[in-house]
Parts: sequence; structure tokens; C-alpha cells
Amino acid sequence: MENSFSYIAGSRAFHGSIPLVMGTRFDMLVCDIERRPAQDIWENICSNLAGMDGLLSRFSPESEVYKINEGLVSTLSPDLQTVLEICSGWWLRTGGLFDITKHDFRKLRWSAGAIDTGGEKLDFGGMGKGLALKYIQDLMESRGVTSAFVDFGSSSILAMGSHPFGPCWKTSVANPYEEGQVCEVCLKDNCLSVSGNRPSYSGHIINPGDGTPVNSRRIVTVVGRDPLEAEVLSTAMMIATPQERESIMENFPETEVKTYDL
Amino acid sequence: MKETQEPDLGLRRFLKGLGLLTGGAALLSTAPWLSSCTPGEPASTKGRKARIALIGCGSRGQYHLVMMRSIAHAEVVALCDDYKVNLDAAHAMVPSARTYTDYRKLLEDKEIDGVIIATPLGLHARMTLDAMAAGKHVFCEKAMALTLDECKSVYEAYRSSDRVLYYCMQRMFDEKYIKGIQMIREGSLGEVVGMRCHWFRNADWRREVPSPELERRINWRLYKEYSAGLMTELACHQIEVCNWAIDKMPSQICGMGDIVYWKDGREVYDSVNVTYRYSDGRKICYESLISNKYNGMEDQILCKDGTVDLTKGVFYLENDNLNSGMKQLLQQIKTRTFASIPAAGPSWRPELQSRFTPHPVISGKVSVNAGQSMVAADNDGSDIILSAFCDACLSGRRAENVVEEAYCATTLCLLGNMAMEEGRTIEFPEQYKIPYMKF
Repeated sequence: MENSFSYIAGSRAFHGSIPLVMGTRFDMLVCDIERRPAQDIWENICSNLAGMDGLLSRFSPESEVYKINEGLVSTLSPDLQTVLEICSGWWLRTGGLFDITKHDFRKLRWSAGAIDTGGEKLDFGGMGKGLALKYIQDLMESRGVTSAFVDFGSSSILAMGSHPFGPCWKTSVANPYEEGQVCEVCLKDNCLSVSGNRPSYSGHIINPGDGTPVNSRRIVTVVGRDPLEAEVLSTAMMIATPQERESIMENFPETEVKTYDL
Repeated sequence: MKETQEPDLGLRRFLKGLGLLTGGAALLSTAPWLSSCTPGEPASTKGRKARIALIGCGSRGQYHLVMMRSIAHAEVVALCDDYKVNLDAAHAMVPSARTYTDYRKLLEDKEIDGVIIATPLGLHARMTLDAMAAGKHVFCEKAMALTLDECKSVYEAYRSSDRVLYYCMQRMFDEKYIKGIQMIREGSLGEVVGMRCHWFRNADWRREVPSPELERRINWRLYKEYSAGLMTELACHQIEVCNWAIDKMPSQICGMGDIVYWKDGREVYDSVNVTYRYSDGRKICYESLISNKYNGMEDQILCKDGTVDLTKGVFYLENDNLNSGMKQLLQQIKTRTFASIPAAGPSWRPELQSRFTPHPVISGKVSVNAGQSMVAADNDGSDIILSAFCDACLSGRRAENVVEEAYCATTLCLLGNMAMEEGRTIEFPEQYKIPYMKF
């Protein structure tokens, strides 16, 4: 996997980037850190992102998900079983709105080492970046990182600590339909996930209830502590009715969801 | 068919590299013609050699003879050319081969499974039809034929035959093209919005003529009796790639062609600019000029979020280097300032860049064809497609869509010439449409 990095010695900051992983771009800025530990973190992240891409990609013939979707295997690795169990939990907590089959999650049957998809296709696009950021969050905390800004495809942002010269990481959310911004968020030891359509890419979120694509000019922002939770909820909230939103979010009092109809 | 114990290492290595040997359904949907040479029926071909004859022993034919040396599951058993110099040269390369000066006599030879046709374009259709009628499998150089009617005749003969027919559209068997097209079709770079292809050389396209009466035969590319010029000799490959990338056919063609520099009695253009327009408004912008080589050869597929240059096997991202948010953030860190970071949104926002970084489509060493040779380029898929044909001669499995792709590309090139000569925009004619075409 192609990547590049640079260390800004005068600022004790490390910037790493991957031009294409999980279908998008990845950027990481870590501040107040020496070059060697930063580079170790970067190598760990690159290795794990490549591994996740290899596990969850729908397109790579080498990935486990690809082989399962094509009916080439019915075996299940422990790693993918863990991811499926996480997805199962989120399917329940979102009242079925977050669904990696985009159709009927209940048809999936798995046990240790085996899976029966019931004809459904697995698509982890709505949670892969969140899962990756959660891993990175844990990694950085364990390595004592106090200030970092991680941007995964612009729709998933992880903020560790605060900007070296400010009280937080002040981040603005762009309006995809016209010049300007939708909102500005102060991130500090939390994360931001943004879901929505854009003029050139609409209808990619599917309502599993009736199979219809969501085509509305809507942006959902979710700010919370857990990147995976934010990622899943931002997708689910794109689909949810106002009543469903209220009902689901009662279980996440620490998480802030905002919906913008543009 | 003769016995051999040697495996076809080149073809298998290629398929393994693509992932086909470990189950590549997605790749097969990108390049369905590969299914003809996947090891689905290895027992049927194991230990046998296809007996191949070469018709047309000029430079390209001799290039194929070199390629045949590394194809273990085939042997060259016969050669044919009515130009003694070329026949002798080829015979020196394969002394064991029988020689013919009339291809019809060669086709009567029952000890031949398949023929390679590497003759001037004007002879392709007749020789292909005769060879299939004689029960031979056929590998023909592109383009398919000199006229639209000939193309239709060959296509219909193929449809009513069970013979294998390949056209040497080697980009279809070039790993960097296959992986690049797969990347495009998966939408990794966003929607395809246009295509730009060009082929520039600075050479007169001539070969040395030992005697004046041989001028038109040796320099056949320059005369309309045998050749349709730059469109069929060069553009044909590139137009096919564009259609392949978006799985559609253009419906309108316009262009301008001229003899700008090489005013030496030739009849075909040395400068062409042709625009192909698809029904949804997307276009192929095609240009070829053979009196300036600065721009070389490129097949560019332009997507909303990036560009793939298939010729070089690289892609460029619209939002490369840094997105504006990260760029601003780094600037803040360097200048010890604090401000809002315009980083978030449902997608990347396009940003005008003055510099783009190439990223490889495939890992490892990539062979890049600069497009300057009149004969061939190394590792451009020519060896693989020939090997696949020899494999198909043994298995009898026809390569899905190869003939259809050649038909589409050739008819578009011929219509490009028609548009230039008549100075008008041409709608794709109904009588030459085939069910494979999606407009």
C-alpha cells in the first residue's frame, strides 16, 4: 500500500498520508512527538489499514468478504467473526437501520469458523473507517499521544487532545451543494462522523427496510467519544425518521447528532 | 496435436498475477475474455501442442514467431508469404516449418490447428473468412477489416461458426490495463466523465523499398487499397479501451484529418483529430500526429475523483498531495497559529492542483510502451494474448467478447475516417449495429 510521511522537526509534528485505502484518502497529524515513536505508530497504522482493507474489501479477490460474497468459501475467520458480532450489536441498537447486508441482516447465520449468508452480500462500507479509527484511537492512547488529528476520507475525523495552539481542533463541515460550510465543531478527545449525499454521489446509502436509496440533500453529523459508534450512527441517522432518531439516540446521551437538510 | 510435458508458464503466471487462479469473478466481469484461458479444463489441453501457421511473415509476423518460442503448448508448423524476402527470413527462424506462397494452399494443410494472420489490413477479412471456412482457428492482427461491410461479414461468419477467433487487441490482456479498468469500474475514482487518447510519433511510417514496384505492397499502411491509416493502425487499440472502461458505445462521430507534413504521395492522413460522443454526453477526444512525438502515447480515463493513465499503469487523484484542510492545518502548525480546519464533509471537495502525483495501478515493475515502434513493444500483452489463443486452439474455448470488442473498435475507427473525409457528424449506422453494443 502506497503511503508517505514527513516529520516537521521544528514543530515536533508528524504527518502521514495514504492516497487510497478503503476507497478513500487517509491523513494523520500527530503533534508533540519525536520522530521515532511517531514513525512506529505510522507503520503500525499502515499495516493494520492494509489488513482491514484486505479483510473487508468487497472488490479484492483476495479478501475474505469477497470470497464469501462470491460463494467461494463458507468458512469464517475469527477476525471477521468478531466484526460480524460488532455489526450484529449495532443492527440491534439502531433498530435494524444499520445493516451490512443493506437488506436483511437476519438471514446471516454464523458460528465459529462457518458462515451462511442466506444469499445476502456483506458490505462493511458503513463502518470500516469507524472501526479503523477506533483501532487508531486505542493505539494512540496506549502510546501516550496527547495531540493528534486523523482525517479518514473527510467523513471520519478523530481528534486526540487539542490543537497545539488552540483549545480544541476546530473543524468545519463543508456544504457539498454550494460554497460555504454547514457547521463548525470543536473537537477534543472525541471524533466526528459525517454522512450525506453530494451532487455527484447520491443514493449510496440504502434503507434496508424497503431497499430504497436515500437521495435527499441531507447531511448528518455525529460527534462522540467512540469513532465506530459515530460512523454507524451517522449512517443510520441518514435513514431514520425523526421518531426513529429520537428513539435510537435516547440510548446515546453523550453523543451529539445534528441533521441538516440543505 | 503433438504431445508435450511442459506447462504453459507464461500464461499461468499472468493469470496467477491477476488473481484468476484463486477465483477472480470480479476480474472476469471486467475482462470476460480471460475465461477462455482459465484452467477450467486443464485435462483437455495438458500435454498437447497446438500446430500453428503464420500467414504474413513481415516484421509483425516475425515478432509473433519470437513470441511463439516461449509458448510451450504450441509450435509453428507452417509459414506463408508471397514476398520471398520475408518468407525466407521467417523460415530461417523456424527451419522445420513448411513454407507456402499461397495462403489458400496452406489452409488445405490438415496438420494445422490455427493460423496467425499478420498481413496488411486489406487482406484480413478475406483471409479470416477463408481460414474459418477451412476449419482453422484464427488469430488476426487488428483491425478487423478495411471496410464496414467486411467487418459485418466476419462477425456474422464468426457467429455461425464454432472456430476460435482472436484479434490482437493486446491491451485486453495487459495486466496494467485490466487492473486499471477494474479500478475504474469499481468506482474507486468516481464516475468516468471523459476520455483522452493520443498517439504521437515523429516518423514517416515508411519502410525501405528495394524496388519501386514494391512501394505499395511494402508501404501498404500509406495506401487506401490496404490501409485505413492512423485510425485502424493506432487508434483502434485506444478506442477499444475507452469503450471497455465504461461498457458503452459512442453514438456520434466527428473529426478532421489532413496530410500536414508527410506529403510524399501517401493517401492516408498523417494528422487526425476525432471526437466520439456517447449518448450521455461523455466523449473520447482522440488525436494522432506523426510529425511530432513530444506527447507520446497516452490512454487517459478521466474520472470525477481521479485520472487513470492506462498506458503508464498509473492513476492520479484530483485531491492528491493534501486536501486543503490538512494543508491549512500543517500551515497552522508551522506558523504556530490556530484556526478552523475546513476538513470535514460527506466527501472530498475537488481542488485545483498544479501538480499531480502518479500512483501505480499494479505493484512491481510496469512495462510502459512509449508507442514509437512500428512493430511491437515489450510486455504489452501481445505474448499473453497469443498464448491464450494457442491455449484456445487446444481447448476449443472461444474467448468471450474479443471479436465483439474488435468489431466495435474497428467500426468506430472506420467511421472516424468517414467523418473526417465527409466533414460531417456521423450517427452510428443502424445496419452495422450488433446486439453486443450498448449505446
